[in-house]
Amino acid sequence: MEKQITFTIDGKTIKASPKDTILTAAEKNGIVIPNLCYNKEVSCTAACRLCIVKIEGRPGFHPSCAMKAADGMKVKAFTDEIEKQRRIILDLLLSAHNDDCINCKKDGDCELQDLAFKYNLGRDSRDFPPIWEQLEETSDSTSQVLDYDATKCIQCQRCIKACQEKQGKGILTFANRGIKTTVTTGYPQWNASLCDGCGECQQACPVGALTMKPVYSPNNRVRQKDIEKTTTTTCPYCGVGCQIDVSTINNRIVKVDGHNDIPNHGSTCVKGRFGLDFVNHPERLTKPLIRKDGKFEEAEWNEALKYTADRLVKIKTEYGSNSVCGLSSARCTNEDNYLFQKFMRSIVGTNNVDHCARL
Amino acid sequence: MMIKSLQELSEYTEELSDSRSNTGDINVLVSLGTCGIAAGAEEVHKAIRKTINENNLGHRFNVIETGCMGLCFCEPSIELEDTKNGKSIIFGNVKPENSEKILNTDFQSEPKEIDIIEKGWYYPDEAENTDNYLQAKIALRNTGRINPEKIDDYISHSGYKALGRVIQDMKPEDVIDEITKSGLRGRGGGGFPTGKKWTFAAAQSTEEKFVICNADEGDPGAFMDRAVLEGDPHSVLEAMTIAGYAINATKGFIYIRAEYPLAIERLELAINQSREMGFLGKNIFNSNFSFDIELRFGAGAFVCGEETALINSIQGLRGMPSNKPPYPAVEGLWQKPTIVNNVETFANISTIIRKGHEWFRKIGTEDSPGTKVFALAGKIQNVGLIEVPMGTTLKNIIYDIGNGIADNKKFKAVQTGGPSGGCITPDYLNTPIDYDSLKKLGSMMGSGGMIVMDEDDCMVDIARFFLDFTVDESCGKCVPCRIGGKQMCGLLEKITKGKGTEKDLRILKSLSETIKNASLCGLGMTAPNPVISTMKYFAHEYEEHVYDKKCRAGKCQELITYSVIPDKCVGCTACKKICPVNCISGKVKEPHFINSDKCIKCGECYRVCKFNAISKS
Amino acid sequence: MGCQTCTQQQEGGSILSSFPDKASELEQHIDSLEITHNISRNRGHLIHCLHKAQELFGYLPEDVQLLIAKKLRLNLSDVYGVISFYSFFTTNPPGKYKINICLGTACFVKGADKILKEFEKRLGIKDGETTEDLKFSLGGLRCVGACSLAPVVIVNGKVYAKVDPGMVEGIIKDCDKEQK
Repeated sequence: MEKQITFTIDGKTIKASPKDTILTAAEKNGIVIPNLCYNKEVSCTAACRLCIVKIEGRPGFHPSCAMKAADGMKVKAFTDEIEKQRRIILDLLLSAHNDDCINCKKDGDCELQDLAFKYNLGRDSRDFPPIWEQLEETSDSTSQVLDYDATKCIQCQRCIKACQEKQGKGILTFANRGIKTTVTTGYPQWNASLCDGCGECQQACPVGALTMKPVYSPNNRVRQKDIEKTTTTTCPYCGVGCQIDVSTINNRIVKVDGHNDIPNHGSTCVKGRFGLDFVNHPERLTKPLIRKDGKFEEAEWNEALKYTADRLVKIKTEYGSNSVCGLSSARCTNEDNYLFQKFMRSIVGTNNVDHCARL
Repeated sequence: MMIKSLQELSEYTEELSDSRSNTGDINVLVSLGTCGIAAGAEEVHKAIRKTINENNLGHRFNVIETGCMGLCFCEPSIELEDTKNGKSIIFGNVKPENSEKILNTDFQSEPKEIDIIEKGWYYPDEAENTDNYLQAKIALRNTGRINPEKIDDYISHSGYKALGRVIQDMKPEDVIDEITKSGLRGRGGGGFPTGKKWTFAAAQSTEEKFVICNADEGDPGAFMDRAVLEGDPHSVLEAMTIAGYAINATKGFIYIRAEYPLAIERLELAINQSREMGFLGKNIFNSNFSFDIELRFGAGAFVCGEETALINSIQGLRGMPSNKPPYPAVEGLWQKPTIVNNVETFANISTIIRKGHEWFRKIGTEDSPGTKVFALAGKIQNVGLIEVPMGTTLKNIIYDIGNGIADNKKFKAVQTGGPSGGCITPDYLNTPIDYDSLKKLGSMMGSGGMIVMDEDDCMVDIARFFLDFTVDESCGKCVPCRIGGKQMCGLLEKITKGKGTEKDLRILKSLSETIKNASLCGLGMTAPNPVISTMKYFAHEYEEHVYDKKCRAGKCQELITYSVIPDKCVGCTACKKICPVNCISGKVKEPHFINSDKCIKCGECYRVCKFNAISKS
Repeated sequence: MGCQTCTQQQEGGSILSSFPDKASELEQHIDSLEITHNISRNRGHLIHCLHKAQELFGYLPEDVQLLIAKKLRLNLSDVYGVISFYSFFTTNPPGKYKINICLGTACFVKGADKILKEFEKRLGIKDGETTEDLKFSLGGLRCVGACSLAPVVIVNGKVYAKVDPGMVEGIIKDCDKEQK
């Protein structure tokens, strides 16, 4: 068994693995140290400085997301002094952030908003005047599926790192430096870049800077809190079988996120995330069609199954098993596909079976 | 030709001195650094050469094109040195037509119309300080004395002897031990013990390690690294190779600002010469040790002076610092152990090896041995590059070496450490300067820029200037520096415009603390220093701006009131004519009047008045 | 969307095809570098290549960026992120006369800000901008280390020392004269 280490945070004894940082160890023990740039799925950035703590015997403040926990460490995470620094840092962040929350798609689902609420940083309680309007940052909404609002961006790098480290694409980078820093693809416009729109970046975004275009509900703006139900299911596209969280309102899909589990650990591709609009599409087939006199006509399931079975039996007896071929769909589950090939081999009696997994 | 051993090196040195005896006895040192050239040193150099050729004086004079002598206030400057008796004389503000007179000097009487400059320094590695000179040149020992484009010049000044000794006679741990014992501290700013840094890197057991020379001198007002690279590039190459041997690295990089084209040119030349002589490359001094150096260019980012940002920049990334730990000595360039030292630090190394740590420790103070180069600039008479033993007082520097404040103004403060440092007031002039004393005063050594300010400088405005710089140069990675710096700058601007409130002063204070505490890198952590130190020593100026809406230096435009002094005004109408908003009224030959409600404080009237009849308060 | 090669082909009137000599010089230069299978090591050449390219073309338009990205096997974002970080690099064509005002501390305490303002007023452009006729670009410079000559203005490498606002007009006229 892995060796455990013991240290304290504000006097409370914490048990953790030697791989843990102070932040992760605290989290496992129910202590949430405020943070914004930390994302456990990508490398540590240590940029937001909200998670700073003090460590006995070491001068200065240290970002708990970057400091490995060590045996016997005495950490202070919530002293008045530290909380004061956090408050100032949040105040600063808010001054450079377009805080028109009413108009924001991420209202209610925004880590900065949560922290601002927690630290009582309403507009009247802040020390710093808003400067986000003076910054003239370049937003970009040319992507087919994503919107980048630079006025809301807090430069945490989570999107850039998600694109680079999780998707291995490296499409995103920072442009400029200092207070003028924004996120860019490097091309004059997002849609000229190699971005395929997987949306990993917007999933990583803690605020409303990178958001999905309302692909599923173009006429209705939807916020997280409007969502009625979220169903975890398997993506109907390729054979990987990604787990996805499908959010619905009134039985209609409004949003799809990657579910954080095997095999995809929270990621999806552009199709999984944005390609489920067929579900509620008016032209979607919901009943079987049978061609009668050269025209498709709606039929009942029983009728259709009977028709198909009869025809298959007839073809098999007249022309032999190998005159039949089965093409299955990658959009069915693995189990369905297994059943299908079993059916083709043992019932129909042919190896003529293939599958469209080359999506 | 390749030098394979110390024996061969000393033979070669002798050969050089033999061949030198064929040329003239008198060395004519023409300082051809960037600022010398800008001041017209090339024309002077040509004129000197021409005079020598035309009068067939080649047997008497030996012209040496050197780097910066440090006498920036009187460039172009020329030093004549009699090699027989060691006498020397320095001429300043030389014009091409002076060349004949200069060459006719008898080293005593002063020729008219040419300035004679006192030589205020000695070379501790060559002689004792018998003349009680204030300056001692170790890092600048060759700068301004040798031709930086000739490796032979460097070799005849004991060059590459230390490297030879290190490789032939010392084990890597002995080298580190020597440096550790010498107490040498990093000259780039923080003052981290060099030996300790090397020990960390040496303790790592990876196959690949790197040595980096930080030549990204970005502090506004500091130019010592440029002077060393332009005037004595080989001393840096030799020291880097010694460091490479000590930590078992095989590759070195010099990260140099692109704004220093002359230094780049001379470094490239020096690297090639060094390779040709076998001081760089494979099997140096016939040993198993191989080392090579490449140049990498900066591209205009101050933050790249921070070591982790510098490493990222060499890797071709945006120059954003990384959180430490891991420290570069453990995980640096391409995740390999890397030591990063600055130019001046390296410039000390070979002398320490040659003369030993005990010799080095005799100079300077207990905790900060050795010397420090300062770039003296601002409102001071003798702007220049100086090197003094640690522990020299500010008074010595400003009044004895710098010759006091320019234009008979009153000394107000000196800013050390550039945008990361702070101001020191006249009260502390007698403080002996070293790393720790400056830190105690709320400033820092930084790379050694020293900007002198007089009564005309507004300290709030100075703080704003530095913050403006930091905002511009902030990489934007961490919040306190990126937004905090910007907000701080806004607050200072508000105060200089007379719109500051008591609350602003309070916010300024707590914000400085947060930026200092919570920033990611050294640039951010030290960014509020100019504010903290001016608020500490010049609190009254802040208060005047906020409560009385006054700027005593008359620098903050919005707080100035221009008015006509009736007794002095002759009614020439010059001010009335120039005023862009027609707020000056008055008849010819009668005292004029400025309507301060309409005045936009452009200062044009003040500028054009020939009778000093306009007061600015 | 599209792959880099296609985007490149679409841009017919690119700077690379206008200056084929310079383009091939740049390519040859990059080819002469030690490019290995190790992409993170290759990336170490990026800033050097950008310097070279800017030296050749005067600025770094998108197709030059794409060329460098392709040669070093990087994404355009890697290249652009670096260009926009360092103030030395520019993506806009510079003016014929680059007027740079040193804004180092020594120059500042001696009034460099006033000189910058005077240039801004006379040329009608702001710090960092270029006049529409591409004649002048104006820029503040970090300390050039010529503090003894402060305040310093540098026009295409020519140093004007101890400048005061009254000299600004003369400096601009110098450029005009030179052009004639």
